Amino acid sequence: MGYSGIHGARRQEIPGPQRRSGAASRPRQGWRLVLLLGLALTQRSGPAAPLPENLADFSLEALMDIEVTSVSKRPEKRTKAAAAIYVLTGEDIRRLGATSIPDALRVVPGLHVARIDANKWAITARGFNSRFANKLLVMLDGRSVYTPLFAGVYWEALETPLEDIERIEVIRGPGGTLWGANAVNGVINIITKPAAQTQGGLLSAGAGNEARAFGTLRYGGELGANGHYRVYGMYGNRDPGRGMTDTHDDWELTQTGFRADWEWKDRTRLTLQGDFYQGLAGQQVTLPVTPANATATLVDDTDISGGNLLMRWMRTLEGGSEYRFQAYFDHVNREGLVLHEDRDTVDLEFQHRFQCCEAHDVLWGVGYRRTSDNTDDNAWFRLDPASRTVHLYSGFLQDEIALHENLSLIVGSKFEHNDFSGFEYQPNLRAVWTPRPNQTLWAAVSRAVRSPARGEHDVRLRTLPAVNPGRPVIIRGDEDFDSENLLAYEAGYRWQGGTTVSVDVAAFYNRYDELRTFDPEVFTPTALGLPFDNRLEGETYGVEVAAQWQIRPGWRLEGSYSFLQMDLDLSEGSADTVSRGAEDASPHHQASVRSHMDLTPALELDIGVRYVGSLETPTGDPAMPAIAVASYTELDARLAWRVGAALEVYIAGWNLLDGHHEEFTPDFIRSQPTRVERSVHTGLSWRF
Amino acid sequence: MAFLNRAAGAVAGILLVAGTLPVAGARAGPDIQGSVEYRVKAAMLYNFTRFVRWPATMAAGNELVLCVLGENPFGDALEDLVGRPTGNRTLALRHLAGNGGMEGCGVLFIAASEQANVGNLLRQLGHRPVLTVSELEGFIEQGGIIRFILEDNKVRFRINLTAAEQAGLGISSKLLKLARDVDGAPRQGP
Repeated sequence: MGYSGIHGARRQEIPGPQRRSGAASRPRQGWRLVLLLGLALTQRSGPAAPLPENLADFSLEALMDIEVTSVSKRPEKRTKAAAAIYVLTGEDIRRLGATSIPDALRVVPGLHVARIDANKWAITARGFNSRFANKLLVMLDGRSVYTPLFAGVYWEALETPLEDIERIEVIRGPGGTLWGANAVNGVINIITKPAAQTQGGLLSAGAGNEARAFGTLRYGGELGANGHYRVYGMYGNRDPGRGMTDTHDDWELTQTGFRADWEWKDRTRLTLQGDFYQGLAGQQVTLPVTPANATATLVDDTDISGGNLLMRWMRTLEGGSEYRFQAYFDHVNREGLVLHEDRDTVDLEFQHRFQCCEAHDVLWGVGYRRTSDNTDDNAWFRLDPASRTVHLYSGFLQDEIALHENLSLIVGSKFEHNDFSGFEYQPNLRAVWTPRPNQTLWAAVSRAVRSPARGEHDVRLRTLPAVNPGRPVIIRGDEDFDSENLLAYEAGYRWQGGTTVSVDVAAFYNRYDELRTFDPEVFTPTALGLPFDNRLEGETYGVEVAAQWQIRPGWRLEGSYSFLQMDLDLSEGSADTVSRGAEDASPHHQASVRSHMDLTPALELDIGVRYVGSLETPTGDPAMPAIAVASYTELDARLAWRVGAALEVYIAGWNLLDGHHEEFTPDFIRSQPTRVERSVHTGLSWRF
Repeated sequence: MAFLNRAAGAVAGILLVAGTLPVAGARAGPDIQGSVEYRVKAAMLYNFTRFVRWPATMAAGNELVLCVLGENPFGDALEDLVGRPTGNRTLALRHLAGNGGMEGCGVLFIAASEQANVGNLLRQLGHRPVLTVSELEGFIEQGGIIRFILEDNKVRFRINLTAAEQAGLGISSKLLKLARDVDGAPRQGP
């Protein structure tokens, strides 16, 4: 559920320009994330975060409320969060020279980002990665963007101007208590800037060998005395990846959108925003065809389009109690050779936060989501029924209790009811101890649930196993398919050494049961049936470390390392041959080092090296060896020159060490993976 | 495509080489816009000028001159303030290198690079109507008027009211209310 809208709300607490009166009483107690997961992000981001350009128009009170952490570019309060959290700021994204959200996510510690082809990605945290990775919840400004069809994310359709992103918060570990089902292994919240921070004009455009062309045109202005708006249009076009022959996985997307924010003196805030996009994502897919045992590799240019409209209203009362209401409508359409989906979603949620009895900070909320789809069947893909409307009812309650000056306890649970698995509860208990101002220890126990997707109930997908022995498989939804469950134990430690060094370590031990399996059902001469079942269980554990070092003003180093081990076991009697393969389908080791340096006040040089360990995907045929994807090390760099206050030009290179490398083997639908090529792009950003 | 890939390779090489160079030669410049901290401090400097009353005896003119002494930590942030209205004047900016050129400064920001010099400087200023601002430790005690401090990662300030009065500056009660600490004790030394 989209409770991250709360972040959006917090974001709006960035002190806005005070209009003459100078009466700047802001709610000091914003919707802080402390109250949510005990993840204490703050209202203000660190220095690297984009600030409004007209600071001088702010009142003193407002200025004094801005966090200015000068070294750990993370807001100070993040260090007190009771979860494994990483914040990628808009400034970070700019300095990465990334041209897509997935590329920007590659530097987040503990996240595995693998490109399947030039428009498809497998992204998750803490294992079980897939194009349809279903244990990671992704939201953009409080709007959930995973598809209820497979509970995965169509990253190729998730775009927003990178310049508009204020920050991306990545939480590793369960967030089900607040966000609900699917926030099992992690949550990604993409949060855009309020319109007041994007006033004036912006033209940003670039071109390269892989990111062939991309550009954004944006304009922002005032709406009466209390409001601001921005409108934008953007275009992107990517080159296909490398394959043996032509790969046809090019991508093109045109998107336009707006955002308007109003804020009144009585501490009422209103946000309206919307986007509309249309594009094309190509692929080649190998499919079974008639006659029996024949296959064909077909070009599939999938048309993608969609739009959304979101409204968020917040009111802060004297005494700090806050109300928030959010509603959105989301339309998604895909028309591909195999996958067809036409979906309308309406989501409503209400939240209330209040302080009580000295030590308690209480947050509760209720939500409702209705999603209805319409699908067309074809030779390979069928949903039964072809149209279905699914209802989700939810509620949650959380209390943060200050036990002692530096010890807090967070206890809460989410309750929800969905049409597939019925009633679910997702409680958690977290503790944060800050023995010293620069040290934080936290620990948590949580239960999280990954509820069944529409496809897992209703699909008939005729496809091929990873290595094609000629016999097609029919992946079959099952109405008895139940939720996957997680019991997670986590702990972490953060340390800030003076103003120059910070270290963040998190460790986890996860116990899963009722994980998804495919038990071969019927052998027929023509096809093998694979119904969804829940016959896998197991444990995963790992460690994630992130560190920062401000060597001197204008030069920062960041490093990260993550380790993951998965041990999965099939229930007795299960003949599944693929699901245990998740053990090696995520890298055991990942590491990265980045350097961000200002060579002169006008010249920036950013260099990063990433290492991703090897993967193996089972073929489904015990006699065949797994498909291996080799480990790789890549280097990214960016050189930018600020020509004046309004103009920046840059050149950036990604994957510079190799001509090309592969990153992932797809599952379910055998789209042809393509290799990621060395890429260089150049561009400019002009404010007017 | 082959050409593009070769070109990409060449650029990769250049970036790699460039990456090895700066460590020795680079000057650590502040972010072009200044860090968030200094952008906030710059905006606060501007705000201060709106809550301070200079004596009528101060040379009349259309401009209030904000002077920065020493290594400028603000990046471009102060430049953006030039021409902004404060009271019935507009703000002007002057960067000072040595102790000279202080004539006409209405506000004097003393950068951290002047640590060794700050006592002398304040003595030299005497009771002239100059709003002195710094972030140096001991600034208030040595007779400076406003000192920026950081508290919980937020910018706060202290005010030496005695020094302000001696300089003939009127400080609005609004500013005093926001100060973390108002120092009314007589300043040390001459």
